[in-house]
Amino acid sequence: MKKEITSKDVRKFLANNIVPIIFIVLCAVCIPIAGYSGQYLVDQIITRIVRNSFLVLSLLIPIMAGMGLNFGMTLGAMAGQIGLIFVTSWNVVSIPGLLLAAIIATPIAVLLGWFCGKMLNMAKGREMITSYMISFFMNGVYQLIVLYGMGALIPIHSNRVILPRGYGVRNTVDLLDVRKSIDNFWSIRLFADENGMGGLTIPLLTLILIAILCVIIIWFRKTKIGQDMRAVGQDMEVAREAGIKVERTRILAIIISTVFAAYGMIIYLSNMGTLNTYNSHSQIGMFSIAALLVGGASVSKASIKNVFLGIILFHLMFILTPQAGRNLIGQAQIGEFFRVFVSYGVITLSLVLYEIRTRREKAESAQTLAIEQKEAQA
Amino acid sequence: MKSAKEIFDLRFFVRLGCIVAIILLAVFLYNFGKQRTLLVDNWTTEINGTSYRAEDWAKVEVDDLGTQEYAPRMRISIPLRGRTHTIKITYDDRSFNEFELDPIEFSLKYDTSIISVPALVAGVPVEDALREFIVEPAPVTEAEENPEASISEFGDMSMEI
Amino acid sequence: MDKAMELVKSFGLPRLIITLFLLALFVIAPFAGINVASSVTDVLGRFGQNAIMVLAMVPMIHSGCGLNFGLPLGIISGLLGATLAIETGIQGPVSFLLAILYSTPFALIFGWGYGKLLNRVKGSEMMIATYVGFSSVAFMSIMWLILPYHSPTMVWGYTGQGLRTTISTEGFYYHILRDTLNLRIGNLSISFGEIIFFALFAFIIWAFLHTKTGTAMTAVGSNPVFARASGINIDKQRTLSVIMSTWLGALGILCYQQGYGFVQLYQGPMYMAMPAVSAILIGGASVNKANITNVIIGTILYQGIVSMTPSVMNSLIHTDMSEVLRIIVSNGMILYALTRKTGASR
Repeated sequence: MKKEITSKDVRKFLANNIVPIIFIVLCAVCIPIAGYSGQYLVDQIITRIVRNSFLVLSLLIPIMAGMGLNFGMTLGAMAGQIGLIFVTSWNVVSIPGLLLAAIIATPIAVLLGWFCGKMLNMAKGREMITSYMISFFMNGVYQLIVLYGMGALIPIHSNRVILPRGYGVRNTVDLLDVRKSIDNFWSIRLFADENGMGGLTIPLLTLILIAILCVIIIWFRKTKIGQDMRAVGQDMEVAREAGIKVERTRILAIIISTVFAAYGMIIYLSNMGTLNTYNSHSQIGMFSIAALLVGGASVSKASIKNVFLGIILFHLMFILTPQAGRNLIGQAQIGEFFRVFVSYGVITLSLVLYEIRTRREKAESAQTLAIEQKEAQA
Repeated sequence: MKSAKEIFDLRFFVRLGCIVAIILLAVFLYNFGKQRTLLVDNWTTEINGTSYRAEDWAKVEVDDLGTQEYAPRMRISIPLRGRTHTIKITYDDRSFNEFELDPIEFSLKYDTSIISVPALVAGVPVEDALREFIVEPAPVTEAEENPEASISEFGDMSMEI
Repeated sequence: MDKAMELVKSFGLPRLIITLFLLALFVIAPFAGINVASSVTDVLGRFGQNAIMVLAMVPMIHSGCGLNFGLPLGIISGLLGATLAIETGIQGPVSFLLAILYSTPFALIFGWGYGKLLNRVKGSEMMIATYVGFSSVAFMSIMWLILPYHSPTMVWGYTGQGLRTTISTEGFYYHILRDTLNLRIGNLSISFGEIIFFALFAFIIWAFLHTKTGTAMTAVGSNPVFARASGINIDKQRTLSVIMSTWLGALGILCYQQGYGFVQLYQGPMYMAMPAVSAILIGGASVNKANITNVIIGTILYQGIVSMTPSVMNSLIHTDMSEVLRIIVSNGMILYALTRKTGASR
């Protein structure tokens, strides 16, 4: 009897964590094939965590409010990019520059988040596809503003940013003056050789910022508004009867997510050092969501643990596959296509598994209810 | 309708205060973080009709950013942050006697300015020795000739993240 | 006045705006030095190319599966058919028939699997469909590299392995429909071949929706509870509709290739669902209601805007804002349809 339960438990554990398990196996297979040194991989992973965790963390709050994966985080990324464009054109450098970019991005992100939240309230039950389309729609508006508005209607004159024709932002904006300014502000080097070279660089300040955001998210769950969000996420109608302003709470969740995504994008781009004006934001939503799902999150449940596990596994796969493809088949191209496939595939798999699981749970609870009723009658 | 008293309550003023504080912070950050480029120039220059010959040797320190030695026809670009700056110049005459000028204070108005060392040594006021420098715009790549071509509706598939 | 408002409401405000915009473009065009006749030719050509892909939306909307964002799956079947047909080396009109023939089994199998999957995720079909489309395109990108094709027209010359990103249909079925029954009056040229080809399939779909199975399918979409009560096998109907949509998607891309002149592999089909989705919505369809008229009107309006805006804009203000405007209009239209209060939640 006891043994049966454990085998069932194992199966349940496997079923609930199939995505991370697939990824662990995948990475374990790829590491020896790719043949990178352990130190290189650790260094890369630290870089990726520093770059992406703020972005991925921004997805947590809408999940808490039952709104699914917020593909609209792209809107926040756009706000962050607009902030950086202004700061670069004014030539405000280093940490003050990034702070100023964040201050500029905040109202834009709030506005976009409010718009997104309003839209999602009009499309209850299909939030994800709607937020996905919002990100495409807003991409058009963003390009209209950046390519035709900036320099013409919005006074930006720096020729480092604006095209020679007098309006429109260049394809790539160099962020050299703010590059890694948070990372380098306070960092330590581990395992360095005698000359202080090599080893791992740990950017402490960025990690502290990420830790602060984690603490804020944990604390937020316990506040009144956080409790409201969880109630709305559990059941909208029950929450409404309990006197919670459902629409307002949902909009708030999206606004918070969008603002965090804007800050995340600023951190991400400052680490990268260049801004691809018309492309940087467009894929960021997908990668962040894929990373979160790889970490074992689902559409309705995600924790900070999922974020970090996801970033490590997803990016490990990203680093390894092109090299593994080259070593295995002699073509890096296959590895690159493979990681694209895995990114999309993992989102598909997670969404499908989630739907199947919820339906099964619903059926099970209905069944138990029926049995209970029968027993009560007897 | 809410009465004026209800609208202008404590919460309103706290929020107003926060917004004002953030705007003030933004203004401060703008001033504190704005970087301008100063070109310290030791070329023979002409200012207001008078020609000043390049110094044979000079040592220049701007703010506390370290000293640099200048030979004739040298020009060094220094990125500067903040509002006011000081420049300290040491030069010599033909018999190698070193002279030190009193530190000169100045502020930068343009994104890129050029300051002439020989003019300062000759006692030209700093307002005249400091001028705007027009930088050649960065070269335009082929893609930027036609930025419309780079618009992508859904983003490209490049996976550099 | 009230009557006018009623009319506007029934026609749909966004559709009205887009129609007026397109009309305005045609009115301005002669003054901007654009030949109206050749513009009409262009619009009609694009209509013939794209209409079947838009038609592929209809069955799935009818059975309540929502907008077919998974159209790339159908397109993939079409691409497999196209590449296999070219691989045989048989040229001329026969190659088009071969392509249709070869793509059919793929479309049926993929459609069946896709339909089964969508039956298990009722309620969030559209999101999952989107990602099924993306994943299949990404998976096929790998396949195009390693599948053992040999035809020199398709394989990369210097490595002899892997297919090219674009393959010309010249010599195979390039303009096979467009050049049949082509009516030329000056600059205006109308290809009845394409139009008849579309009309044929539009008629088949229309007729099908009026058969017993077709009405059952509509019942599944509009009122699943009622459908179940009257003994209709919901899952079977839905799977059937998905197979039809997928097959029409395969046909649609073949029809597109014969007009466009190229087979686009790898990431080409990635986002091809969006224009089709947007077109049928512009035509007045909603997430759970669509008919053939929506397809025709929508495709003409959408393709009209796509082909007219750049030329008119370019000659008037010398800046090509058309692409950005198209992005805003087409995605805005999808957004509008998704956020409308009417319609079941899915």
